[in-house]
Amino acid sequence: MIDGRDEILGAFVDDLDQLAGSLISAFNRIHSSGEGLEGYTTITSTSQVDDVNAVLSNVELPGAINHGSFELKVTNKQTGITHVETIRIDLDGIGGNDTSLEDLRAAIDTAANVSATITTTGELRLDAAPDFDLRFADDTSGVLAALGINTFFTGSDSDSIGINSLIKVNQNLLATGQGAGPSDNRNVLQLATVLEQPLDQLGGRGIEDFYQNVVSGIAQGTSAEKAKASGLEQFRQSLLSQREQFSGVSLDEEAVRLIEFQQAYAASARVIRSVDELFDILVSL
Amino acid sequence: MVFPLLLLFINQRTVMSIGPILPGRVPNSFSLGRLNQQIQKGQVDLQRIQDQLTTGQQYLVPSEDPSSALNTIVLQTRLERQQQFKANVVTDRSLLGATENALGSVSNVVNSAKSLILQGVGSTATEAERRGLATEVSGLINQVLNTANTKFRGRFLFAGTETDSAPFELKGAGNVLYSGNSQQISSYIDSGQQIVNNLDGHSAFNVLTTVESDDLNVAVTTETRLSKLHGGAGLKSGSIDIVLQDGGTVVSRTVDLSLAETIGDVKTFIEDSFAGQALTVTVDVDPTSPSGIRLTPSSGTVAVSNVAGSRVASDLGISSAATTQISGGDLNPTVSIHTRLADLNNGTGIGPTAGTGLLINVGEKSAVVDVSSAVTVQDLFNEIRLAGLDLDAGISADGSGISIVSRLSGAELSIGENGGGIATALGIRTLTADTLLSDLNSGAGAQLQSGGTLEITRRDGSLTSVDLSVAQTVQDVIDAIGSVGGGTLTASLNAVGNGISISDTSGTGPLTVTGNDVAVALGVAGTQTNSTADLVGEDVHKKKSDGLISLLTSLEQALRIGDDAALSRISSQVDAEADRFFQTLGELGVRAQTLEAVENRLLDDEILINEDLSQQFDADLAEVLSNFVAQQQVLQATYQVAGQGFQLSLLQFL
Repeated sequence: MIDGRDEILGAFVDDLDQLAGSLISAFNRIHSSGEGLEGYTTITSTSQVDDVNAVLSNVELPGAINHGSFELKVTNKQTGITHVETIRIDLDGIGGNDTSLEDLRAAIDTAANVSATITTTGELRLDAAPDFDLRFADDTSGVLAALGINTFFTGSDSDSIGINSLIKVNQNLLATGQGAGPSDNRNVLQLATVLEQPLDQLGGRGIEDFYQNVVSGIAQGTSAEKAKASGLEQFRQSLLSQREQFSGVSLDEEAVRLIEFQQAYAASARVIRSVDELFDILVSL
Repeated sequence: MVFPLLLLFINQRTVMSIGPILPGRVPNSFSLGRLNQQIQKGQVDLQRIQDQLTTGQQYLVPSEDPSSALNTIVLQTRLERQQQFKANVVTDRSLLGATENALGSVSNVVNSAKSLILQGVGSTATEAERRGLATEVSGLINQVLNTANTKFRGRFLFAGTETDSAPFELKGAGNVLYSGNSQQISSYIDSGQQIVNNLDGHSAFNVLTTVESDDLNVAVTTETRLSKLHGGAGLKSGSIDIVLQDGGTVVSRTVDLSLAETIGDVKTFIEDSFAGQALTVTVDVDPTSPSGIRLTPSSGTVAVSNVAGSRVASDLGISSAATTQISGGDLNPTVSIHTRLADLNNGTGIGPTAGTGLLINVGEKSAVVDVSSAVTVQDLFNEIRLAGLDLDAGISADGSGISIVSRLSGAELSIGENGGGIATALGIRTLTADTLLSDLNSGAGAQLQSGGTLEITRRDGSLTSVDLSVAQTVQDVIDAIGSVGGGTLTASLNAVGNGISISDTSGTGPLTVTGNDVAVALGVAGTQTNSTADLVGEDVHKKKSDGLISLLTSLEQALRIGDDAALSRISSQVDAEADRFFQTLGELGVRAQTLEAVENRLLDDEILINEDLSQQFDADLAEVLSNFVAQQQVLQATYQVAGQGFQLSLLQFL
């Protein structure tokens, strides 16, 4: 039973973590390349980086980062004019110039009307100039999802999964579209496919597939354990039966023996009485 | 696992089973224990059946029947999704239905407009009658506008995705501003199948006026994204084989380009894989013809080939046998908002921008767009958007050029030079040397008939005739004028704005072009008395929306002034617009039909899934009930046996 619990439940918790982790990173990856009804005037990444000068691909973050780029849209809220800046994430491992968090900060900081800083706790913080807001698009590197910028979920597994507090407070930041007005639902259409997309971290399976596998795995495991328990119980019962058959008390048997002893007792009494009578006769002679 | 095979044979539903009896003694405690087990087993089985009866399910937890449970989960997921699809279809149908209804009233307007034209044309109508007709037309305009601003389910139906505000706004002088966009709203109606459930204002009413450039021939740079190559088709990433050879020295490498996002990445990956070797290779873009990439070995030759099964080298245009230098083929990248203006037109750019700019006219308003501070295409677009002329700009549909869009329907759009060559270089000048004469004055004014003569009174007082009978384009007119004046008479496109300018250095008198039909159609009729200035012609190729709203506005004006020529021209334009409009309506109808078919299929599917699900998951009541009765009897029998059997004891007979 205890083995069964550890094997099934332990494996289940691992599977659940993997499921939650994949859902978080796959969902965030799409979400971080979309935009809601509003842009951000300020945003701080939900993930922290200890060594700001370490190459990003070597930093422990929820979600992988690869060589690529993303677009930072800085919109003037007065005129509605948007300037799009491409921020490259160099992770080709060549030339010793791969991007660290500090490099990323510097690259974003050079864009007009946005300032980027790294907080003392290792988060990347972007601030738009007054009257400007920030949006994100076309992240091919996964850096936004990994750092937790413009993401929907926070955390990395089933224990820590949560919804980004920015979105909880302001639903207009939910990235439903890709920059074309209130009814633009292109990003949501992409998010709708997130459960079916094959993912590398799940060995090419989709999240939905993986979930079904997990459930059927538990069901089969539990069922096998149950059968095992039932078999062992039967085995125990048959041993108990055997012991009982040898050591148990049978009333009939005891009754027979009782009669046997009673009769023996009666017979003894009879003998004693005969002896007593003989003795009486002898004395009265 | 102890007895794996044996265990598999144990019925999973048997929670407790009864062991075998050995020959020999059967003590009372043994019998009582066994009886206890039997009763417990009976009660467990009965409870299970009771659960099945009360829940209607075959099992409560998946482990009771793993394979069936998995099927159930899959089916339940499908069912839930199916139901969402059904809800989507219902929403889509109501949205498209409302759109169709709204457009139905517009088709009445189209028919009314046609009959009003017939009534107004010719001498049969008096001026008062025509004015009455004009008033009716203005009523029609309001009707169309009301329809175009229809709100349904909280969204403006004809606003693209800008559904929160009314998309059409009357801006005076019969001009209508469209503030929606051309985005589609899609929804899933089946897995992998989307349908568009809106019709944007431009598709419905043809309100935008667009000027689109030709192919701007973007030069390849290290910043060029691989996904933008080959007209936006991009290329599939993978590896290429490169062999460098100089005499007996051979270095060969397979370069993995799957991480490459830009041409710069391709350069980095290729150069890095040969770094530090006996032979190296330099990758760059040939500055003299920046349409592809170039590979130059440090010495000797270079050969590039596809890795078997891949086409990356060919797609990059660098697949080649051994040669001293590979000059790659044309990669034809598309324009992006990040494309530098200097990289347009094969790297020659758009010419000097300081002090020039674009001169754009929209209706009565005009503005000079200064592009001297613009570096990239998006800077140019932003300058145009900021010009205050209700203009938008974007990449053209095929990605090869740019397009400038006027949102003001009914107003004429013209884009010209402001002393430079920027509009021409960007391919957005509305009147160019290539403009066909037959296209001039398409909106209003005189039409140029083929054949005709331009009568010019020269500055020296002589009279020159220019024969334009074979002229097809504006350039032909310019050439024809230049060919008759003995070198002193020349024509060119206006340096500022649009039109044809005529220059004459033969004397100091006035230069006059007689105002015949040909001169009026070309916009060059007039006199220039200033002997140092050119005779500057008018813009005769302004662009105007052919949409219903714009046509109705023109119709109202034409009826008020009784312009029969304009009326007959508008009549044919209304016919053409009506054709387009009814085609759009038909396309909506097709979508509605698709939705109906999908809805029927979804309903059928749902029944099938439910049936399947019921077989996998629902308890068969008849079977469960009979099991219940049987199990009850078993339990009852056990009790009876217990009650009676244990009365039997030897002790009673003593």
